[in-house]
Amino acid sequence: MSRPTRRQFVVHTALGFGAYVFGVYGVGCKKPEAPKRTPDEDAATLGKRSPAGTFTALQFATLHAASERILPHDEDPGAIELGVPQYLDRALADPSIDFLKRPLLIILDGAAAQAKQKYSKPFAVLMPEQQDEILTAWQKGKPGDQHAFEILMALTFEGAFGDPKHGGNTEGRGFAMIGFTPGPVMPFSPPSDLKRDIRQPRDVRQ
Amino acid sequence: MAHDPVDVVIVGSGAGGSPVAFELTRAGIKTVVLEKGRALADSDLDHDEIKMCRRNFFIPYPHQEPHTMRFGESGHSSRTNEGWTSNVVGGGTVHMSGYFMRMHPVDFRLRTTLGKVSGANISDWPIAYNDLEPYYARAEREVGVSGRWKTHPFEEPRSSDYPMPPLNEHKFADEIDAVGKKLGFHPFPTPRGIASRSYRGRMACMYCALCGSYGCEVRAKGSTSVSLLPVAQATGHLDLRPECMATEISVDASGRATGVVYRDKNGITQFQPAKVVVVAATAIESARLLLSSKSKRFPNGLGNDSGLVGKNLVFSGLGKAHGLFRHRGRPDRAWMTEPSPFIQRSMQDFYMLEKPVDGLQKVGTILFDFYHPNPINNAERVSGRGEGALWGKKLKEALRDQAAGARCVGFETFAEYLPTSGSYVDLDPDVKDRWGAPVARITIGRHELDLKATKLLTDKGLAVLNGLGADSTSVTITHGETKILQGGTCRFGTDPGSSVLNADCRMHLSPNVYVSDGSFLPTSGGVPLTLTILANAFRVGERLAKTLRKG
Repeated sequence: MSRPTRRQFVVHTALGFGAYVFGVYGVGCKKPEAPKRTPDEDAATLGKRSPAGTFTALQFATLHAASERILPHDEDPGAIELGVPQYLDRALADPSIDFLKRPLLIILDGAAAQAKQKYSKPFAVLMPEQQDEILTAWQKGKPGDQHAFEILMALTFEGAFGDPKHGGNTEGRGFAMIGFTPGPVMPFSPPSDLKRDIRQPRDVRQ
Repeated sequence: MAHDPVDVVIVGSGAGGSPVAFELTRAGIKTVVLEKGRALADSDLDHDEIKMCRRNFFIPYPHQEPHTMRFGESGHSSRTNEGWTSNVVGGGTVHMSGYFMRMHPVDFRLRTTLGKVSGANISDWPIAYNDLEPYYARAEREVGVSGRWKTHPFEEPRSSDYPMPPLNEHKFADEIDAVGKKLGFHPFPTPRGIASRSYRGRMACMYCALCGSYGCEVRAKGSTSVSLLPVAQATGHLDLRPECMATEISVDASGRATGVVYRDKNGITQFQPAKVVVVAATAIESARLLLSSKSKRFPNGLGNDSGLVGKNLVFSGLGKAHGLFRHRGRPDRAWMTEPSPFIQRSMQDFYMLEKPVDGLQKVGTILFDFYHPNPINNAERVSGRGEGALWGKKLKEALRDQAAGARCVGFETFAEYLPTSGSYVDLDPDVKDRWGAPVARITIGRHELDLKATKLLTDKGLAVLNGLGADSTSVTITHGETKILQGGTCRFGTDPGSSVLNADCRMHLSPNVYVSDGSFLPTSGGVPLTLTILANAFRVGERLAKTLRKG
């Protein structure tokens, strides 16, 4: 991940300030072609380029933050560490599952808009409690909102506990968290026949 | 494009179609099998939950090839992928769990045994258990079933033991046996369509963690694609055409079938002329194919003068519950952490009650096994659903406590699911699949006794889980149906007025059309249906081969 140079930082800050002013006083004016970003947005989207191009930088930043709220880091890894955003960036590039991508984008864009409206900040830089408050409103909202939240949960679980070959579940640490051992196991039950007499062939109907 | 005529064309390569192909080709009869799905290599079958369980690897997406489903005729009908079994060569047998139990003699004579049950169209079968017994034994040998006979007093009469001993089991099995003894129940090793020893060139089960809903790359699971079709192919008389979906059965003016119209993998419509057509595309899709085959002779669909095609749809009545057994910090429960994937215990103490209880007499089977270990699905189980679903720190703690630190033992119940006039398949008047053909609409009208049957089995199952010392139990399905276990849309019988097929599963009204999947079932028994479908298809195939060789 590259750090911004001091010059870039200054430029972004200046542009960001301009956008802020424009945003407040520019109501009714024609929209600028490329919206200028705020410093917070810059901070939120820093290094959040979606490699497969599935998400915009802001969506990808929101996805990082939102999935991490579903599975936060504690003594076990969280969603970001498990590669959930990278998994979704790759998986949702497949157009045949647009029916999963659509509701996810609805909640990502919606949560970002609510964060901006309520706290004037991108979702990704809010305090965890503020993020939880916004997500809870989706979980308990209208049926469409609830569906979008369920999809966010389900896709987070896919990234955290799916087969690592898809790019998530880094090093199988999601499996470990859930107590799952992939692959064949060597059962050490003794062969049934030797164990007890119920399995001896004997006609119990007589 | 038209092909050269063949003796028989079979629609579907699963449990209903493959045994017929097996019998016919071994008798030297030229047979074409049209399979909608693709042929899989062993290397396609991995244990990737996302690919196998959460995408369209086996079952189509509802936005591409839906079924529609409604509860009651006035219910809202919505798109679903329920009611499909897997769309690949081998059909549902590729990703089955393989609970291979036989029906009992009472299932063939349910009308006589129970008398009239109000609200249910119960009918005796035109054959008896003894007529099917040799074919059950045949199916168990050809497909490879592991189990042990004479292990409980409620067992159906059998002419022989299973061809293989039961699969190895987790120590929970011992505990269930002990609790069963205390409660007066008789748990027995669940027979499985899975090889416990190497069998006819197939490997023995390697006890991987993920079995049901997955294909088996070592061919231990007795999918028809590894047990029957290779044998049929070796005869040189089988022409298996994957990715070819039958769209219509053509008939002549007299109502005899002339062949099958199908769409090949390039989307080109082709015609395969044949002397005999065998339909085996699952009860729901077979009904759809017959209803879609409209002609001058059959304006309401092939063989449907009586309006009975698609009617009396039955499933396996389903109840589901699980118990949580925490072992973290419990040295006395260290044995629970053993990774063996199978518990392998079932009970049929309540298959048929001696006397009716609250109108209920025919019930079914309880089958214990670990809650399916799919990791993503387990996270969803622990999280819960809807407004109360856990997430965040609470979810992480629950995962450690209820998934990593506990075993989840569950049971499923397979109960009699009574045929009613409210459960049927017809063509959806509005919804079309991606090729513009009307899809199958499933209407479900459950009988009140189904709920009682599931409730009774669930209560007994919970008694066992509590006897085992479950920390908590949870009933997830109290009143449902296993929609991959389906039958009854073309029931067989002796009277053309009340049945679609005759005792040989030949259509009463079209003398060269057979239906050999679960459609023939007048009643659903109290066990998973797969073995019965296989056994009957062996019977149909053998009789058809004899007829063709004579004539």
